[in-house]
Amino acid sequence: MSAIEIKDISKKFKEKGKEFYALKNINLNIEKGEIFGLLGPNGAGKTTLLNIMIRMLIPETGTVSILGEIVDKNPKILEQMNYVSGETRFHWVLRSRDILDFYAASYNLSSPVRKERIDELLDFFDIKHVQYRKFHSLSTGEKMRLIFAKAMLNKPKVLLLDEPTLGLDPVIAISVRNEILRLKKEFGTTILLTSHYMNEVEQLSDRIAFIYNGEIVDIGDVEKVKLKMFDGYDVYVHVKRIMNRDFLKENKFNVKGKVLQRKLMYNENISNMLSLLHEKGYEILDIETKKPTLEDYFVKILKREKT
Amino acid sequence: MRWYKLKALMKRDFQISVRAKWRFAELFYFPLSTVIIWGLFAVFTRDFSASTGLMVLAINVFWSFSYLSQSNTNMLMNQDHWSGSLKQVLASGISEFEYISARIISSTIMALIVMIVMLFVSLGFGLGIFFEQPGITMALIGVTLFGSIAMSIIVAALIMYLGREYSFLAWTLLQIFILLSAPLYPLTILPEVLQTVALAMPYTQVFLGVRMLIDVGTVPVYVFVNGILVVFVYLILSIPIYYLSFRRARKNGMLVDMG
Repeated sequence: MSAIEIKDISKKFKEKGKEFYALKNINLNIEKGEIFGLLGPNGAGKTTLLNIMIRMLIPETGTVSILGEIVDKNPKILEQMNYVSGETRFHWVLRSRDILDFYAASYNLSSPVRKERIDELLDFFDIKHVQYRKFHSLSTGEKMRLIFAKAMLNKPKVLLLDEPTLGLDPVIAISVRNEILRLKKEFGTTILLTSHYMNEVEQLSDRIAFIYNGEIVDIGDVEKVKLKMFDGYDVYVHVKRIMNRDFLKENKFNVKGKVLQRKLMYNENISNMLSLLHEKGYEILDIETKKPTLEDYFVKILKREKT
Repeated sequence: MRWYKLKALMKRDFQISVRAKWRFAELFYFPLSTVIIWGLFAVFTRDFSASTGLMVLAINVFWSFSYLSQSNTNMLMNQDHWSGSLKQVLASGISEFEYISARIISSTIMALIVMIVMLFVSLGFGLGIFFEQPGITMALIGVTLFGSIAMSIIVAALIMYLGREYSFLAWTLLQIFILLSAPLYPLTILPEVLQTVALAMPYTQVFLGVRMLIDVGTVPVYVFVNGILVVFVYLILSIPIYYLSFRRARKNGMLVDMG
């Protein structure tokens, strides 16, 4: 049984009298303990899908099952999961502790358990010093840590993260990412993540899906989807001096100063290339490789879909 | 309906009402200042029109009570829209009926506290009939309360249907219902067509009962029966309207916009 099973989800909206599909026949299975990244440009349908998963939206067709339960038929399953968005807000006059206490109570944690759990999370997220401060007076980082603390109250088996590091400074963003990895490692939490920060998705996700115009156009392991899109990578060889330009041209090397650049296909061996240079008398000072990143993948697949 | 969800929401409602100073002031400030204004009017008119001032004061007590018990429920909901916390609240598994029920209970408790204070303050201005006739008073409070509960569900449904731009209905819609409920005058003063409309208003019988209580010291049973019947119809209608509006808001994305 998958932790998240999305079957034939379609959702349409009306705008200025015109109907359009925000999601078209989305099918997705996310395994227990997996971190799954959902990529796509703005308006692709990522947040719409998450909204359907938390019952804020009703789809036209299809079902979402969490831990084997269809969410719309058994909304109680929402207590087994949690949702964090970069845009999450709480009531501005409530104190941090009030907020945690409310959500803990709504997950039916008894009073002593609630107190213990809240203290534990306040400590863990280093926000104990702001527990009696109102939400509006917290800094962005403190707010985000409070939001994550809230998301951990019910020890969720499934966690939905919609742009969790949006607007955070790099230091806090790193701690949030570490926290996400810790959840997977220590609690086996299944995580569905959307983000516009490609390095974040690449660093965290086991698998990704790319959504464009409401459809999944690509899905798979991070490395494998990149392999599908790129047949090779760039190698930069720093040499002492340039010689035998005909040989370089013949072997598809580009020359920039004292750097030789060549695209190496995945089925080629880098040592063969280096041996060849060595045989021709090149003294190699340094080697750099530039493998395609998820960002390169994003740009390329987006370009492909647009055309 | 899960009690722990209701309890959590209610505790939060009270915390918001206490911590948001303007909410706390609003709860007591308008009703009590209204009672004082009309209480002084009652004192002023005592010598030349014995019951007119008291009648106006008594009607205003019930007017404020009906307004408070309805608007407070919807304001508590508005707070979630305005603070952008609705999505988090609902994502924690709170159902649409738990969401509104908790608000109704919180609001009822708050409104009853304010009502008790209003009754005591109005006693200071010579309005003792509510204490002399506790059974009738409680029955009038009961009908008013159920009318306001039905109205708050209808207003919640309307805001859900029309969107957050219409959150002002929380504190405005009731006024037209009060106007048509003939608060300070008998139905016969209204144009004939409005008299029929007035009979279908949730508070018409309450105001009629309050006027009778001040005038003759008692209220005939038929006033309560009519009042309960009208309010019952409102309650019966309000629940499916709310359910359908909520469902529609989940369907067309309005709920997401509100969160």
